[in-house]
Amino acid sequence: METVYKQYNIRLSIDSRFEQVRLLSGALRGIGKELELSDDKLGQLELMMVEAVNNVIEHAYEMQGGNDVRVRVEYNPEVVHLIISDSGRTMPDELHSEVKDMPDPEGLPEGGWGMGLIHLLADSIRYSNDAKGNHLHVSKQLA
Amino acid sequence: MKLSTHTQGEFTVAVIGETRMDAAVAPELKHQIAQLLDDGATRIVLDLSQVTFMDSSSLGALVSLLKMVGNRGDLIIAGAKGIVAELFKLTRMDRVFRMADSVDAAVGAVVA
Repeated sequence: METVYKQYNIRLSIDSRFEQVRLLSGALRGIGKELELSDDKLGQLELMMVEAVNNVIEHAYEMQGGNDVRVRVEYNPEVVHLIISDSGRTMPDELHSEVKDMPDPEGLPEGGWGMGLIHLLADSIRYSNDAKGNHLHVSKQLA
Repeated sequence: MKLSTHTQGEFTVAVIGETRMDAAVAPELKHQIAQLLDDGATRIVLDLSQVTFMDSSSLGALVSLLKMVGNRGDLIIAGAKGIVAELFKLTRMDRVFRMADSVDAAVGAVVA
């Protein structure tokens, strides 16, 4: 008998403070357990999400707490979609519309890897904004 | 942040006692290791074997510490695995840091 998978959809929200990001990771790990994801795949998903949320806190909200960071997770056994939303400053086009080179390791960079990592780990990336704010959509195939 | 230290030969081994290294703990990580340097440690092995997740802000803190060590000592990363090891590879910072599978391998490799 063919198995029919239900599409799942979870909405999470944290305050724009780094201390709260681990709560999102915990929720994502719960989803990973349900999907029986490998540690490797789950680690990649978590890194994508954390880098995206860190970017929101640091750049969209300029490190100001008291703002909403929203993460919607839609998933089925084939693919996980993460939609990270904020109501802060919009990301410059060049950061999301093209694959961003990693900083040169020999220059001993102390940051600037976030979007580059997301581009390397995600199967697709889309950034949009509307009246509700900015939305970074990233997807990862599981199969 | 939980950090314990012991000496092994000429090395100060700093064991991260957390499973998660992220932006919330990166400043404290940097402060605690910098304190070891201030206290005179020059050859440090950072044991990440208990760490199951690390983000790029913690990696940035480690690069900052590597600059502090400079040419006067060592900062060797030991026991990185899973997504932690992958983070070093994806950013190509595995070419900049000395990486070892374990603390024993780190100490042995340098002694040898």
